[in-house]
Amino acid sequence: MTTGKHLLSCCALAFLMLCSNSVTAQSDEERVGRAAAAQVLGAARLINSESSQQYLKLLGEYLASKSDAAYKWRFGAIESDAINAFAMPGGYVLVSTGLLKILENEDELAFVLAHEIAHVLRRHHYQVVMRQRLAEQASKGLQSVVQGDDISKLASASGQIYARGLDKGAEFEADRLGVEIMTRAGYDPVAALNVIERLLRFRGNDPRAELLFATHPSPAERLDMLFQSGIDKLPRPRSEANADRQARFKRLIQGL
Amino acid sequence: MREDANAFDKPDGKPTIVRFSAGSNIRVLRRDGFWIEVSVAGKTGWLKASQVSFAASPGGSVAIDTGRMGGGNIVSSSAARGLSAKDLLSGQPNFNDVSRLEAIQVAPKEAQAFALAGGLKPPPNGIRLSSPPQTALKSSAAGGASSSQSVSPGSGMKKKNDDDW
Repeated sequence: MTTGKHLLSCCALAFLMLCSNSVTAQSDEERVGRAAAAQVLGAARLINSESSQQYLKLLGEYLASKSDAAYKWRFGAIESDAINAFAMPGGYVLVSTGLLKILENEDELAFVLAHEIAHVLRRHHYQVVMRQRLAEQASKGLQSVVQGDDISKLASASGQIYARGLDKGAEFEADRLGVEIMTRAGYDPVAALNVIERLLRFRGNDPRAELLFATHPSPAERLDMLFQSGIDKLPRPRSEANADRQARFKRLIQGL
Repeated sequence: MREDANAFDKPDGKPTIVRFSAGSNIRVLRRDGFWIEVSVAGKTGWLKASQVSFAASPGGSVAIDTGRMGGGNIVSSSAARGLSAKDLLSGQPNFNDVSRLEAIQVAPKEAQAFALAGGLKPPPNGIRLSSPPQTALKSSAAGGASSSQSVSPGSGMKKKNDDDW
C-alpha cells in the first residue's frame, strides 16, 4: 500500500513536472519571439495601415490553421524597401513593404507567409537561441541560464541571428513546408516558384536584396530543391483566379 | 545534361522526336507552371522543370526569361531603408510596436470567412513534399552547364526522409 502511494506520488510529480516544463517551454518561446520581434521592429516600424495589417492577419491565421501547432500568431507589415520577411519564435511574422510590393497576387503572398510560418513550426530560430544558451551555460558553468537572460540581451542576440541567417537546410525546409501549407489552404503551389524566380532579378548589388541573399540560398538552389521535393506532383486549383481575392490583394498593395 | 530526354510539344503535351542529349547545355526560354520551354543548339521544346538543375551553372544561378520579369510594380531605389544587418544589430528594441502587433485580433471564424470569400477550396488530404537527399544540392551543382542561362537535367525524384508533420 505504501509502495502504491509512493508510486502514485512519483507519477503525479512526474506529470506536474511535464506540465510545468511544457508551460515554461511555450512561454519562453513566446518571450524569445517577443524580444526578437522588438529588435526587428526597432530596425523597421510597423506600417500604419490598419486594413493592411488586418488583411495580413486574416491570411496568416487562415494559413496557420492548416497546421496543427497552437501558437498565438501575429502577422504584420513593416516599413522598409528591403525585400525580406522574418519569423520569430512563438508565432511572430513580419513582412517588409519592399517584399509585398514585388508580389503579384494573394497566392504569392500566401507562400511568403507560409514559408515564415514553417520557420516557426520547425522552431528554426528558437533552436539557435537554445544552442547559444547551452554554449553560454557550458562556458560559464552555470546551473541554469535558460530562464535567466534578460529581455534586452534576448533582443540583441536575436538581431545577430537575423543578421547572420539560418543554415541552408532550414531555408529549404521552410520552402517545402511553406508550399505544403499554402497548397493545403487552396492556393496554387506554382506561386511559390513565381516568387522565388522573381528574386533572380535582384541579383548583384541591389541593396534591397542584400540581406536576403546573404541569409538565404540562391533562388536557383531553392527552385532545384522544390522540384526535387516533388512540387510538380502537387494539385493546382482548377478555378480561375478569384476576383475578390485579387481585389483585396490590390487594396493591400495600394494601402502600403 | 546528365540524362537524355525527349522534348514535349507543349506543357502536359506529347513527346516529340526532338531529343536533348545528356551533357549538352540548354537555354530556358520561359516557364509555364511546372514546365519550361528550352532551346538547345537551335532546337526548342518543352521539358518538365524537374528534369533540369537550375543551380548547375558555374555562375550559381540561372536567369529565366519568363516574360514576366520586366514588368510588375517594383519601384527602384538606390538604398534600402532599414533591415540591413547593421540595422538589425544596432537598432533599439521597439516593444511599443510589438504591442500594436499583438493588438490585431482575428477570430477563427473570420479567417474561415476570409478563405470562403476568396474562393479557396482546399484539396483533399495527402499534400506532402519529400525531403531530398542531402547530396541532392551538391550533385545538382556539379552539372555541366556552362553559361548563365544554361541548366542541366536533374537527377529526378528521390524520396527520402519525409517531413514529419
